[in-house]
Amino acid sequence: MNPILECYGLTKSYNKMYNALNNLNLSLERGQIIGLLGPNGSGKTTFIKLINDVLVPTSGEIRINGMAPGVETKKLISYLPERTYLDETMKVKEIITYFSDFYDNFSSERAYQMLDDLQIDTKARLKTLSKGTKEKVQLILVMSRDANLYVLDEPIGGVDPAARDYILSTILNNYNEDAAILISTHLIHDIENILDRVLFIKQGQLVLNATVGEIRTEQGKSVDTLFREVFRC
Amino acid sequence: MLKKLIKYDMKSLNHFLPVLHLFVLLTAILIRLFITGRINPETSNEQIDVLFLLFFILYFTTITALTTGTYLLAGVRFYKNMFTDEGYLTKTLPVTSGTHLLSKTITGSIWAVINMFFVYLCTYIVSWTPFIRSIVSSDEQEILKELGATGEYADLSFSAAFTVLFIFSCLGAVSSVIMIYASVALGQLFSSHRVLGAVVSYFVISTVISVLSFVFMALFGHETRLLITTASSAGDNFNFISYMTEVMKISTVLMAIASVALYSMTYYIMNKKINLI
Amino acid sequence: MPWDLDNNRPIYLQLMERIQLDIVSGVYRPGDKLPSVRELALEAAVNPNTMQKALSELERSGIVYAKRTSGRLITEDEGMLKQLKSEFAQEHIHAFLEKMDKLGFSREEILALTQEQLKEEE
Repeated sequence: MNPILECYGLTKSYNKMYNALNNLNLSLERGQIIGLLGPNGSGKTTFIKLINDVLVPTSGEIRINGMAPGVETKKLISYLPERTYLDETMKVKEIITYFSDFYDNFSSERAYQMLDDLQIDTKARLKTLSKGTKEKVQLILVMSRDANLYVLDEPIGGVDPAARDYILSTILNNYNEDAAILISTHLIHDIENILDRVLFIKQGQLVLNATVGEIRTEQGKSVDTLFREVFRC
Repeated sequence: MLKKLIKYDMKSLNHFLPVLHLFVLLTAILIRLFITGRINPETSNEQIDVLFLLFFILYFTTITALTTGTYLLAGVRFYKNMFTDEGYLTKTLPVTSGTHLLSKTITGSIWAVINMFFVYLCTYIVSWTPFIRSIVSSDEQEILKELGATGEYADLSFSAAFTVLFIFSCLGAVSSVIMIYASVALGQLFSSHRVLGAVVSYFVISTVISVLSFVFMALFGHETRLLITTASSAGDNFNFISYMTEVMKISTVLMAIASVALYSMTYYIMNKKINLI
Repeated sequence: MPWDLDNNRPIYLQLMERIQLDIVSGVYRPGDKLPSVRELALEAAVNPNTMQKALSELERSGIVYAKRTSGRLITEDEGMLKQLKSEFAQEHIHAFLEKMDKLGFSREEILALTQEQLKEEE
């Protein structure tokens, strides 16, 4: 099957002097879990926004399943942004209905099951939940979709270690050969073992595109260690 | 998809607006029962007149607040749902920006019309007391003639006139909604001061439209006896109803043009210039 | 609980070691069916592709073989299992001897100490 994500010369500049993303070329295969790693301001978020069509490229192309970002690609992509994007006046079960209304590939059963696992009250209004719980709800919604590309921006950032294990299990559970999971994170150490491949982004450029196996075998170090070397302050 | 978007947009507006409107309706009924309904020639004296005036001001303020609140809430919903953190959910739904805009415009317009209906209803309740009715009905034909209900408008009745006025007001209401959304969209182009940008845009757009209306009227004034100076210098040929009808016709055309232009601009901005922060 | 893995070495090798250990220590008996790639990956909290690689390598070594519809099974070759067990033992003993050497013990001393310890732990 064709790669799930491709970019050719993808560039985004916010003003004349500064390119948030510069001539990015890459291709992501299905059936992989990929880590998008880089310091703040490196262009990771810009890249993610471009994939999700909440930002328009300055030049170059980005293709998801061979299509330009639009209504059809949004059906295939399940996106977890770094922020709370839910209407906080809604109740948890209303949000489930909302997702189920707009996404054909959303499974309410899976969502309710996970909410139950994490003991989240479905009748609660989102406003009343703690930040960590809101993040869990968002993750559950995203992972209850049967998508071809999952884009997770800092999925384990604000949660406790036990929830972190649960989230990583959920991500592994959602793994299937037709889909790719792109995870952007700072917590490299915790997530290394589930990654197939890592992308290092520095100042809008791709500086490394390798599998975790290659890094550990050829360089004899963990991805976390390599990251600290490459991005030394 | 459009229906579903409309469902959720209405749900959001229905959080506050129905309650506010019913509250104002209640206030209107109370004012009618305890104040305006009790005014008649016998009881009229200084103090009651002042009281009457005060309550009328209160009523007027309440109605204005209600209308302003309605438009503001619609504008805030548009802004919040499309251009803040919530936008990350909204914009990643498998729906085009055009559909989003249409849904928001439809729901905003629905409430603008409901609001207009309530304004008319409350005004009717507050002012159309038996006393007033008795004064007006007896001289209805006289008053209408005086205003110019002759010739082609000879069969005009008050109710017909008000119906036309109501429809015209509703068109204006919808136009206002489109204008507010356009201001919000325009405000998005000012990356660090989006809300301020929206407010400024609103004033700029209003001013531009006012100026264009004036120019338009001036250009066509000499054709249709619209300029009051012309009319009055030509003697007592000034027909109020005919004047108002012409004004409404021209305004409607202008509003339509402005609305189409503003809606298109909003659509363009949402499609080409999106950049969620 | 995720398996205890060292981030500096290739994961698949460590996965292989862990499964081999489980086989040798009796967690899996000869002829037992291994859980699916997915289940093992989930248990270990690793990427399924990496687990797949580990299992393929184990297949190549013969310790595990694939049966068309039933997944992967542990070999029933007693000889091979015995050899694997001895290999593990050799590694541990070698590591032990190295450490004791570093501490400065002679071979005779090591033997004596070991026998004493064995008696005590009975």
